Amino acid sequence: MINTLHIKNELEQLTRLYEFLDLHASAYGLEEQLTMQIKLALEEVVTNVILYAYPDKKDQDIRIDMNYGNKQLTIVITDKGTPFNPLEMKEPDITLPPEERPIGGLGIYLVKQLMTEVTYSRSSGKNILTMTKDIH
Amino acid sequence: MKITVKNGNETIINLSGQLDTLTSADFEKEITKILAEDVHTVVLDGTELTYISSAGLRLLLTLQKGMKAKNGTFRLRNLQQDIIDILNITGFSSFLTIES
Repeated sequence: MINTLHIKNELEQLTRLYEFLDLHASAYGLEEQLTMQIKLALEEVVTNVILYAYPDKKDQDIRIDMNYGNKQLTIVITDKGTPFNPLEMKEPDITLPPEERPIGGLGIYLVKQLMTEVTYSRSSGKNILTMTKDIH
Repeated sequence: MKITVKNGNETIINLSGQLDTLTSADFEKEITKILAEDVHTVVLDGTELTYISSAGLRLLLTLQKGMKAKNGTFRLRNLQQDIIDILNITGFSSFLTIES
């Protein structure tokens, strides 16, 4: 069964995202560490969409679909905003000392590290980001 | 998230709950205050810190840089394993001082 959440492009709505994840992760029986990692990936991706997908526009929709089956969790984040593939962002050099660390790029890097697979597609005017996590 | 700051020989920050995009704004205000004061040692106690996202990591970077610029020290203690894992993945553990 697919569970769906719609939020508006406001940072305050992240609270609803956390609740949505906690609720379903517990129903799926996911362990705490895994839930934290998935929450982190979800927060990073959705925060990016909230901040950049709809410049200067309010009350815009962001859709999150989540499904668990065959030992795999799938999350799809869809928006109708500006075409943007976060996976093309330059990866941070994680060996740099603090003085030389840039501010951005860490979030998406974490998403790629924590999830099994992350893919982006643009279709019918929508950004569609799909993340999967194998659950052992 | 609950933030408690105790001043003494060392300034001890207790974070309880999630350090995420939303709660990091409050923590940033505390950091700005701490860095403006005459403080030599800052310790972040993570006993009750359950979650950190990149917004929180950025603030750890701010604290680390800010304390170094003052010739002071910044240490993290009692971090939960899940948080240490995130610091390892991002390479932050290579420049932060993490006590067990």
